[in-house]
Amino acid sequence: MNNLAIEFLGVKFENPFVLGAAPSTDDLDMVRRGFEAGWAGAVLKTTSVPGTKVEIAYPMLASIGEPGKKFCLGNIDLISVHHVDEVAKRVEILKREFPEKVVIASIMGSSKEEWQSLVRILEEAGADMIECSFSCPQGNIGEEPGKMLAQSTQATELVTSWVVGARKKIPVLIKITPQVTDIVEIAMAVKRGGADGITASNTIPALMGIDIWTLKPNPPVNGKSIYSGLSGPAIKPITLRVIAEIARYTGMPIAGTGGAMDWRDAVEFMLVGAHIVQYVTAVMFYGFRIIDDLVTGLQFYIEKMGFESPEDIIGKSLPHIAWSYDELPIRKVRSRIDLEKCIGCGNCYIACRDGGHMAIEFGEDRKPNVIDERCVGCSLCKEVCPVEGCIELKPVE
Amino acid sequence: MKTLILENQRSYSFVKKEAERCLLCYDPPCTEKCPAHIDIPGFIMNIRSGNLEAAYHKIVSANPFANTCGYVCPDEVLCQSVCIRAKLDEPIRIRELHCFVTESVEHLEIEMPQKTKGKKVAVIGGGPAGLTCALKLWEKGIEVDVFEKDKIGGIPVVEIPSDRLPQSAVERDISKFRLLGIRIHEKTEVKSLSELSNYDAIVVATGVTTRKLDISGIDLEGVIDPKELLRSYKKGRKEITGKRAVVIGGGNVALDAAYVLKEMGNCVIVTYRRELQYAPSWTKEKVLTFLKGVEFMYLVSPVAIKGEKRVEAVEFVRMRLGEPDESGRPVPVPIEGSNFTLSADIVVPAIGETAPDIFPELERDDKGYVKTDSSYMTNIEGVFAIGDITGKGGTIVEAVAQGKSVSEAVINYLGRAR
Repeated sequence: MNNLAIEFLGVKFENPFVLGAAPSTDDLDMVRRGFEAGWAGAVLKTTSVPGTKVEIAYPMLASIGEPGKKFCLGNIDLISVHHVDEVAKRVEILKREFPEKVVIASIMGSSKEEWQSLVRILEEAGADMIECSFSCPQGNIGEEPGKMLAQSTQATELVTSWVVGARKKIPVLIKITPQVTDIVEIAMAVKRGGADGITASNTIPALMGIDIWTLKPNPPVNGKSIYSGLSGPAIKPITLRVIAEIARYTGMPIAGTGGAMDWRDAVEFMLVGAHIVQYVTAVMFYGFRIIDDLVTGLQFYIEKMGFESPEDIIGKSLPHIAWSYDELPIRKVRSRIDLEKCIGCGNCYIACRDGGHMAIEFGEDRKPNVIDERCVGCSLCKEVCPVEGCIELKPVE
Repeated sequence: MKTLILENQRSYSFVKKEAERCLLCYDPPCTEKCPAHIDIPGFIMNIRSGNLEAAYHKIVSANPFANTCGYVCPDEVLCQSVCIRAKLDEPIRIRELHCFVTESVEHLEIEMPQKTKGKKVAVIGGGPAGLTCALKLWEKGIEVDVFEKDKIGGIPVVEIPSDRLPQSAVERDISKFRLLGIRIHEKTEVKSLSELSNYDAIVVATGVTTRKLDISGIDLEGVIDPKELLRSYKKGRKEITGKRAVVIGGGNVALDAAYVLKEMGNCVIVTYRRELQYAPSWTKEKVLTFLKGVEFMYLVSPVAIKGEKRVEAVEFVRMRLGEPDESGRPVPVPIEGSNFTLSADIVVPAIGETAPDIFPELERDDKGYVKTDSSYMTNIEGVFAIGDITGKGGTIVEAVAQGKSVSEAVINYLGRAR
């Protein structure tokens, strides 16, 4: 068995799988069970200074997709209702009971004093790392209601420097939002502020849907709703892009989060630059038990690929992302349909006829035929084909 | 047999999942295979988006007996048998999706037809074929009279056991015909075509009668016509009970008869001259009958029914399978000296059907069915024949399909005749 241990910001993780800040980490017993199940660490749900008003509206969740097969989850959750005094106690207990596990405290403040006192209290309590929530979609930075901290480069740099200024030695992570014009500018501000790493990224502001029969949006809070933070498989491609951009332009160590559901997603996050991966939606849907598949799956992958440790895969795919469209090594490809595998449904024909280049004929024998002169190789036929491996895009001379 | 959608869980989200398995094939083979040519991918797309009214409209406009067919269509040989999804995993449960739609949507507004064209057509027989034909003619503005010797609806109403086909479903199909401008004459038997000489065209769709088993003892008390048995069972008469019943034949009517005899509390044995796999009944029917506790005896053929006044026993001869006949099934050949008798109180010979002995002016084929040309016209101009009486009936949906086709042929004919 490969050892999945990985070092991130000088802290040793037994594997790269960490519970993200969420309801799953807002209860001592739940975190205990998460650790017992095998998670390497946990980001405790974001806490605040005593007196901060946190009144969560319920129901706070809405999702899209089939029962048992949701492709996203949206929440209008807020930070923890437990203030830092309580969370500090939990940090102490968890570190005492699970000295090998990584306990990360997530914080959100509204002034320099608040941010700094939160850091001091939690470092004192024994937290291994601090994560600063600059991106709670429901939070704000006071002077600009509705705007997240991480949507302003100035505020991001300033607050980062406050937090870094208050810590003695524990690493500081800044959790940012993908909802910005240029993620690199924000990441650079985090770097200038002196943070050790970035958590990329948070949920994405979204409207979860409207009940067309009542005209009311979801989730319904007594007839009204508000924008949700979108998570789950739907946002994974966005997270991947954000991680890749930050890794490439800033070189900062990254905790990847946002849409990872299984070990393959973690591998992808790591291939574009994440060091560890946080899971929230997957745990909320399937429970702490998924850690078993994450660990064995990653072990299988590393072994199969001939790597030594998870660290070997970090950033491995970045060189394959072109810096610009012009840099793409374009070559001609054509659709090639394996008629042995083809079941004759005609979906490729319809798609190409109405959404492609009218380059597929459909015969009386229910077999498609690609007209090479018309085929540009767009791959729409492959995307709609229900048979795996039936249609390939192959280079032509 | 459990049906996934209708019996396990009739929730929309469950049905939607099945609908989402549909590949929505181009030039769909299912629609082609459906005798009524229901736009199957079309209504499945409607189900997916929760547009059940549109799905219902698609189904019912193609098949006026949609509520009935949702239960009794032999999906294994029709739409589902050619489902392309089967090449990936399992065919789409098309009939059940169809049934979900017809069971979910309450009613459909009836569009009144264009102005009458001044033509009059008589339809003899108010079964699925006759009624569908009448409806399609009426929709085109033709005046229609339907003459039915019993009550309208045909086989689904009077014969198919309610255990297989809920009466409420048939009622939904039948009731709409009563709301239309079609003149329906129930309990009205047409004795001779000459009674209808004032019509521009006549469509004969009377259905069939049971073929008589030609062996000694067939007239003994206790020999029951399967159609009569099914009809009386459907009327709620269940007095035959505690008897030893022998059903002769392996078709769907034989199995239905066996099913209801068992249901009434008899000891039932189905006897068939080939092996069960060659019996002309749907697999589902066979399984249902077997699970009901009916016994089967294969490779036996009746020789005589024994008894003084009442049936006491049936003498059989054992058969072996010979060379295939034109249907591709092996011909059963009697094994000499293998005769044996089976005690019985009731005998139901259900060995097939034959065209009724009516309207002698209509030319028949060698099997006794009314002969028609490719446009369903008989040897007499203006007289058309469809359904079981032509030997081309079969399932309800096939009767419906013929009703649709003949209406077009009649309209063409009326256009020419003008």
